[in-house]
Amino acid sequence: MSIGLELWLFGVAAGTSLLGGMLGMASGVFIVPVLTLFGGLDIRSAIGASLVSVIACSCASAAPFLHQRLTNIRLAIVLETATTLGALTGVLLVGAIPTAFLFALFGLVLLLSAVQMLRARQQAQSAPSRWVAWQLDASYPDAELGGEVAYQVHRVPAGLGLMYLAGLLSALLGIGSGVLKVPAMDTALRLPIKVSSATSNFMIGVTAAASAIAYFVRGIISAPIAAPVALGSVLGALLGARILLRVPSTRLRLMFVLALAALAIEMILNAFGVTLTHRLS
Amino acid sequence: MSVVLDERRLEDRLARLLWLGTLSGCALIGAGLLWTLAVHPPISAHAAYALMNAGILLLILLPIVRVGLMLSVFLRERDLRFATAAAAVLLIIAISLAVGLWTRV
Repeated sequence: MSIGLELWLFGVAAGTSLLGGMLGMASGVFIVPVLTLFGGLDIRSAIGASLVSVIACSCASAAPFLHQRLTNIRLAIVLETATTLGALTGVLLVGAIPTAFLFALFGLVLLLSAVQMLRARQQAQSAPSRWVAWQLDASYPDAELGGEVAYQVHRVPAGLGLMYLAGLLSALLGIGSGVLKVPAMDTALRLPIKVSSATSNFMIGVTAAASAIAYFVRGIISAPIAAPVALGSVLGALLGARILLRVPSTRLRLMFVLALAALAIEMILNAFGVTLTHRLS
Repeated sequence: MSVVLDERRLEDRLARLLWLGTLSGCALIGAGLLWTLAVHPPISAHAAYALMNAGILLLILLPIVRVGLMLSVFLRERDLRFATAAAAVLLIIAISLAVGLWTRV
């Protein structure tokens, strides 16, 4: 493994997660397309490396959310039964899935992520919930609204169903699956946005670990690729969260949407055997 | 009141575990990477890869240990509903590990 490639992997991971951290979004979705399209890496080792970095970023950013009491850990453990079951399904399926299909599926997820980024997240209206007996309801301190805000958790079965699919996508593509978790948390479960972000960040780690542990013992996770990617993305994410935006965030957001759309097209073309990018190796 | 305090203590313990675990995993990975960069040509690439793999494995195990901690706290509080959920998550991960060990791709 050349030193140049190690530095390139570190730089790419740090750069994308720095930008992602500044926007408050996860940038795990960029790692696999960049490593495969520009780095010329095999998609399965790119997915393995991406999973490790998704776990590392989830664990690295969990502490402040927990201290602020934004993470609903009881809801998280219930939903994690569905995400890890989805991940297990992915581990069972992944060997039988052709590489071209993985590229196409990834392209589709990138397109949906671009559409999702263009729309502002809607705060769901609270209404009486039928799931009170599950004891998942909680409250969190909100500085802007002043004081403790109580909330109820809605439509648990729909939430569990979407979480199962999120776990499946996470194992197949090596991503955190924000594209499914946002609708699951905001629309189905109707959580306050801050609680939704903190709780889904908390769950991403164990979801990715459920498939990463199987890939690790299968030998798919290659240290010289996963190590610089994980370290770069943790440093980028921690730094990005501390940098105040000087560029208007709408412009940065638009840049992200365009990058997602371009990568989506390339991934889909790649699925059909067309390559446009110049590869490093 | 005491329920709220217990909940806060669990949140603080989880936060500390995840933060210290991430730091240790990243330190091992960083040490392994520096080793490959510094030693050129890599005489002992094996040792450097072993450090990186140890860091990667620690990061993968970290959220699983976190579920184990939650299970022990829920059991101590006799909160069987959430203890069952935590046990189910650990069981699913154990099956995934078994699948990884006994199937070839």
